[in-house]
Amino acid sequence: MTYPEQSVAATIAAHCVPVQINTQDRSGADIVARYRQVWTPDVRVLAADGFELYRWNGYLPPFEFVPQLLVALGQARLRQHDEGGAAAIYEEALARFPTSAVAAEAQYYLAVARYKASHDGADLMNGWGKLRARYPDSIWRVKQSFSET
Amino acid sequence: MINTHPSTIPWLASLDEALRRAKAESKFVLLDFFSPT
Repeated sequence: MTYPEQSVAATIAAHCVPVQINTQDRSGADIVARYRQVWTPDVRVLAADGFELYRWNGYLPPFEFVPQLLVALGQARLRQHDEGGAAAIYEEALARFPTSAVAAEAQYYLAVARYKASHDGADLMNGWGKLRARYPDSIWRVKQSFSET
Repeated sequence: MINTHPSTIPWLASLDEALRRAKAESKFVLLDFFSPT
């Protein structure tokens, strides 16, 4: 199981306030409706005003949950215009979990975060070059394929 | 996520409380929808 793992708990504690909603209990019905929840497992990363910044469905073992959460947090920071914070989280995800299912996504958005912070196109192209080299068969490589010459 | 195992995670049961704490602590909220069956 995932949540008892120390690495999972530590990552959650460092970045999040955790809340669980029982989808079968009437007390959670308004929240289920608000977030249009239809299937479990269902994990959302919310801003402090309740706005949903990232979500995913499906069970993940610890070695995939932690990188998935890091990628979610990176996206959350990016959408809050904290490009430096986003880049740091993506770098951590790639350093700790370079072969995870979300590593290519992390590499894609790391390049985006660095570019948005620097306004230097070379940051984007260099980052996406690493994506092409390291994760050539990923959908994220396809998503940047328009940039390939 | 089936919540049938002990965890060190201090899960809240109130989204409003989680949002309040997230604002106070400059954190995000991790909202986990689970089904016990």
